[in-house]
Amino acid sequence: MSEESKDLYDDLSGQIMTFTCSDENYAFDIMDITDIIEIPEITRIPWLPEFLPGVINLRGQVVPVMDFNLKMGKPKQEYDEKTCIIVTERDKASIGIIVNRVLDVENVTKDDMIPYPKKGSFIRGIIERDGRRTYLVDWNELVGAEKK
Amino acid sequence: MAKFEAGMESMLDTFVFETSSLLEELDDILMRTENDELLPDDIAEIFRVMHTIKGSGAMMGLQNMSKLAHSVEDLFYIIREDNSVKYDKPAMYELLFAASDSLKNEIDVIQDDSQELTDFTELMNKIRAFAAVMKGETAPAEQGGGGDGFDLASIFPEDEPEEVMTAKVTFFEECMMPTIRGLILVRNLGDIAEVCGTYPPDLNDDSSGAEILKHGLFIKFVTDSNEAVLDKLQNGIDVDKAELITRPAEGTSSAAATAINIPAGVFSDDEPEDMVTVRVTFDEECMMPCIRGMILVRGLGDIAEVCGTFPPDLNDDKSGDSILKDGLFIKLMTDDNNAVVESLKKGLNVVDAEIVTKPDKTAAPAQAAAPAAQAPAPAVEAKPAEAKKAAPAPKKPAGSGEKTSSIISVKLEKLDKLLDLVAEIVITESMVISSPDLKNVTTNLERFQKSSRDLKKLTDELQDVVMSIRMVPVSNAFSKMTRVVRDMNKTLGKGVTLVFEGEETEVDKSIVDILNDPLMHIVRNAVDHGIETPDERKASGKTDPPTVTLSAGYDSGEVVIACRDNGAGMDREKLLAKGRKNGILTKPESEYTDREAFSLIMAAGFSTNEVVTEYSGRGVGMDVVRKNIESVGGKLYVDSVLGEGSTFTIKIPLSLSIIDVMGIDVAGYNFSVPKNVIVELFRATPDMLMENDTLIMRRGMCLPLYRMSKVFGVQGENKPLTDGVILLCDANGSKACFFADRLIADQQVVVKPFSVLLSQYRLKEQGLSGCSVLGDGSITTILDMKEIIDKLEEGAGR
Repeated sequence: MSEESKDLYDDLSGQIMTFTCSDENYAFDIMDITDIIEIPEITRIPWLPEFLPGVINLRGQVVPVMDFNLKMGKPKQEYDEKTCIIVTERDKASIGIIVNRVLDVENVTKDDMIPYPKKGSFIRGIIERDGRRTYLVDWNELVGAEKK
Repeated sequence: MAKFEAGMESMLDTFVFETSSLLEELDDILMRTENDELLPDDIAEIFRVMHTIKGSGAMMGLQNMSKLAHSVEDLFYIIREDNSVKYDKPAMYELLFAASDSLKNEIDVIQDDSQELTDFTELMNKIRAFAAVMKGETAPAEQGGGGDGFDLASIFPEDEPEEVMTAKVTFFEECMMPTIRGLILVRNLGDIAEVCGTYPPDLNDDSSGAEILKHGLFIKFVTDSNEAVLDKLQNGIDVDKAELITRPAEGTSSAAATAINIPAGVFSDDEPEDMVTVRVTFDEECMMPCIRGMILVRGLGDIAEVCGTFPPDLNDDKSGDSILKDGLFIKLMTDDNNAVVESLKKGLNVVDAEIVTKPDKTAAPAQAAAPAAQAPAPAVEAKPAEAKKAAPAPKKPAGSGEKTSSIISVKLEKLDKLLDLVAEIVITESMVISSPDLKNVTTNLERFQKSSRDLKKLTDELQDVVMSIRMVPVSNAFSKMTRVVRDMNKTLGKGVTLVFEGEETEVDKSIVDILNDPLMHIVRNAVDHGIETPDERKASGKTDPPTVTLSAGYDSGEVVIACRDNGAGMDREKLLAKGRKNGILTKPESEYTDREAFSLIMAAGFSTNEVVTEYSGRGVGMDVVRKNIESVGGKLYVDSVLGEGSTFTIKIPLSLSIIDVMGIDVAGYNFSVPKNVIVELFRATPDMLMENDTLIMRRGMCLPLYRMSKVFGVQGENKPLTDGVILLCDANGSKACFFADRLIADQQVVVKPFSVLLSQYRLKEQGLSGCSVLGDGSITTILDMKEIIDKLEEGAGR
């Protein structure tokens, strides 16, 4: 791996939170996560795409939520007792991500990262460990935030 | 490298705030007086502003800002002292505006770690040269034939070391380019003397030439052989004569005084034995030695007990000169003399710190007392007298001091927090009062009801007060535009008049802050692109003066800011053609409404002006402006009539305001309609409905009827129209009826704009203005009925 491509991961905090959706393992950088909550009542808002089911009241704040399965183009899965919302935040903009289940917190270094070749994808890189493959999610791409 | 003195970070906010408001004040005065008379009050005010910036800048260790302010202060000192002084007013205002801009810019720079402090030497030299010319011209009037009545004292800084000699070189009148001659002279001195400076200071500046001819060139130097220097100067080309001069009368006594190290009054007779006196000397460059002294004294707190200082009053500016001359004496008691000296030596601008002992009692009064008493003593005694003489300056600060005592500045964050809290209280209050638990209580709740009414009254009042705290007149943002238009008039020569309407309209502070940039852009565009050149105006037969009008007002829960010009207007066909060329059209040209066509100029990468000017035309701009406004939940509209002018309208919701809404249920969605647009609510009867239920007759009006569920494209219950409730809405004269499944509640909500992450779905444009958390924790979506009706009408029209 060239040094240059490793620079892509300079901003990693070193810890990721892994979760599963449609039998694949994904992960967020732990720095982006502010909360993990059960699914509360979701208020629907018109005109939003299907993968944004609406907004929730998170301690007085109105936070939009995204269904990760639908966003990844997977079929809709019914919510069960393991389903939860990972609340992520960057630049004071919060969004809740509905995932099938949260797995664990793992340590990673940037040397563990395998760059993902497709541009404009939600995946920043892949971590392969003990035969498991985990996709690190690119938050900006996922929520469509404008890059700084 | 730190930009300002360590330990001053905590002061940075205050410094930035104070300096910014001072500079705004300055701009106000300048704008007001540019085409008017400059009154003594204004002069004193400008002087005060610059004096304050000089002082606080020096305190922060920002030498560049401090020195620039100092140069302007000097300039105004001349004007203040002699009101009859003649000067080139437009040129001076250019300099003043430049100085004001540089200082403003520097305030941004100090807050931005990636930028280095700016060097203002060039501007400072210009200002000094200007001041010098002014002085030069006033000299004849002042001196009244007294030969060289030129202000010699200004050439001799108070803190000049004794060994520096001053030579005055006069040139023949017919001498061409005296500045060059001067430069050559100075260079020639190189081998035999060390030249410390000249007066006028900048020999590269042509304006110095006249000065040199008039008063001569003053060269300051240090040398071993005065004769050799004079000889050399005398032999210069065109030199009339060269002579050594000394400080004029008043200066001499203080020059003598520099020899006496310890002024009288430092030591008193009844001093305890263990008291130590430390003399701290500062370098000549040191601005505001008093403040440095105070910082030093404060810094000693841990290791020594400071009993006093000499000069005794460090708050007095006059002490500064004495400190520079003789040093600052600090009297203290400590266990560790060395630690104290070390600590003092580390201070900024400190040259040396040493422990001094009481001079021999008998020797001191005999030898030193006489001159010493003369030198520093006047400095102390003169204080009251001088203070009186300089009345205009100290008076002002005192006056404003009284004013500020009734006004405090508060961080906006705290007000935000307060407003949030009040909003929560209002919501919680309604939760408590209409708690479902109370419905099961059978006892009489009369006292509870009364108390809750009182509580409601109080919270309403609290809410009003908190809202009013944050309100500032929009003129704060408008007045900045006067400056923009003025500058553009100078360069473009269009002579545009800027007119304000409704500038007293009060809006939330955050809105004024948001408005600054977009307004600037829009006003620039209006003057640059909108208004034609005087020739073009004449050709098209326009006789009215070119005008840009900024107006402000409220309209159904929104602040409406408009910028109107009576210029050329925009050509729909041209815009569409340009849009086609740039490939940004999204549908056939014929389908574009006028407003959509005009809105093209807000698309990224669109600029109709072929020529890029200093102010606009780079193709970035309007799209950024639109984005900025949209990011706070506002909207930007463009209207234009070809040949008559264009209007840009910004609409921003009265942010965070609490509004009364009616909650409705539409197919399970919880919507809220602002009450101010609802005319009435009623249940339809079959005879009201017309034309396949698309029209409804009510109170003699035939109005369009829409199902809310259809409007929002959601699966509705499809109840018969006579079953639910009809809302008759009137948004700015556009009336329409809407069918909702049922009413939920009559409630108060705090509008929270949608998360920025949702802005890409253009909810605002679809008539959703935000959402709000209700008392029971559920969320409601707030509708913008005006947008909805407009959209429906537009859709029906085509």
